Amino acid sequence: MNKYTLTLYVTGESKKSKKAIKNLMNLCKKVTFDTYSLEIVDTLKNPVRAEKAGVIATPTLVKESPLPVKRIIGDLSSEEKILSSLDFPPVPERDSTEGK
Amino acid sequence: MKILDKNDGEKVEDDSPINCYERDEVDESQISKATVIFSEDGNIIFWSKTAERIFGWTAREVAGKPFSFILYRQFSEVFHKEVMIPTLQNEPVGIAQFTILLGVRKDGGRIQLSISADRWSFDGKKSVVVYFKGIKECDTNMHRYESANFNLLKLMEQNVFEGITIVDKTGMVVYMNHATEILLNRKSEDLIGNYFGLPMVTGKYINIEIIKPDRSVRNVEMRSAEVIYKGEKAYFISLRDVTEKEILKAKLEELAFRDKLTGLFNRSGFMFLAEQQIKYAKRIRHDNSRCEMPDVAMLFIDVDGLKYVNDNFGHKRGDSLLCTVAKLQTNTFR
Repeated sequence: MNKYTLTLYVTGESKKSKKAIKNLMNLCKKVTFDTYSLEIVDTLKNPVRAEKAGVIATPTLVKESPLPVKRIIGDLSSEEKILSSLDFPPVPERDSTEGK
Repeated sequence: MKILDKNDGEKVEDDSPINCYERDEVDESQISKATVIFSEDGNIIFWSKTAERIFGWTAREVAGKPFSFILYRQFSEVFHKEVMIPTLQNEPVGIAQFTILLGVRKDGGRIQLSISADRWSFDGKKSVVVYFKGIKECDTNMHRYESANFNLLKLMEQNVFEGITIVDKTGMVVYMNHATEILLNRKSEDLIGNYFGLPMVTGKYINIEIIKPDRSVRNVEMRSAEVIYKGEKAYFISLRDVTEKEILKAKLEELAFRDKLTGLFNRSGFMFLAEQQIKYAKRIRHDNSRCEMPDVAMLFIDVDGLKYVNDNFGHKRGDSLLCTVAKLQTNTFR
């Protein structure tokens, strides 16, 4: 199974950044845990990293592997589009009896 | 090391690392994929005629050069990590993997490449053979209008104040107008062929931040639409700097919601916050029906004798009293 390497670039603790992080966390809960690694980079604290990655707008989510590299921009509120854009496998439907 | 001279076909002695370059044997103009062989260290040791056609460099010019020489800077690391290493280690991920990278041509232009790679033994040494296929060239000359509406487009290009950018279906910038250059404080030559990102929400404004080269941040409204550009799906993105507007909005909110003398919330501010807190309390109760805490509580504080202070010591002292009480409140409550 290909391991997904994701990096979310945000700018400080702005409303936009918080919203993107919250949306991404919600999305990650729905994806099988061992299929991805996620890093959140604050471009204010680590501007060199953003420059090196060529990120000029935030919030930007970058899928570094598997190739091809893909990046999406915005507050990550559109889950289905994000999953299909990043070539993530479809989220399995949860068993309704799970956890009961 | 022997090679066939590219001009007259005679064998000449050369120190070039390229030792196999039999150009006349195959009509490569019919081959769409360029074959390039990299040594274990990532240096070019074979450069086909098709590679010359796609990239513009001759074999002699690229001989011994690292792969970063022909790849756009941000893809060098990816190429090393995802193509060279796995292929050399014979891992499945590297073999015949199909992916898209951005190459740099001799004339400075950029070209999207699809590649496949495989492990190879060249002169008995471990190497990697990569097949590059040029998909499309990126338009680095945005002033080259081909339509009859040349003048109109040129006028729009130069006079529209809203930043307009077109990214292809991979999120790569294929066009940007002059206003975008000003907004981003970057030259179009530096950005065309670079990845801006795919907008996920189309048809309405979303707020993003733009990081300028001096690392300052601007708040920008972005609106995008799916379009067909040069026969392919693309995104038309308009960018509007709203930094000043947001600062002004914050100032207006401050003026509308706070009392100028004490800095405390005024009636409007109180109503806004109270409505927010009541909604929040209702949601908490809805989420946790066992919660026994009251929904919301209100505390009323009055200053006795303010009129007496105003009448006997003047309004200035009265104001000072109010400020002192406000300071006590802000220090005590959240």
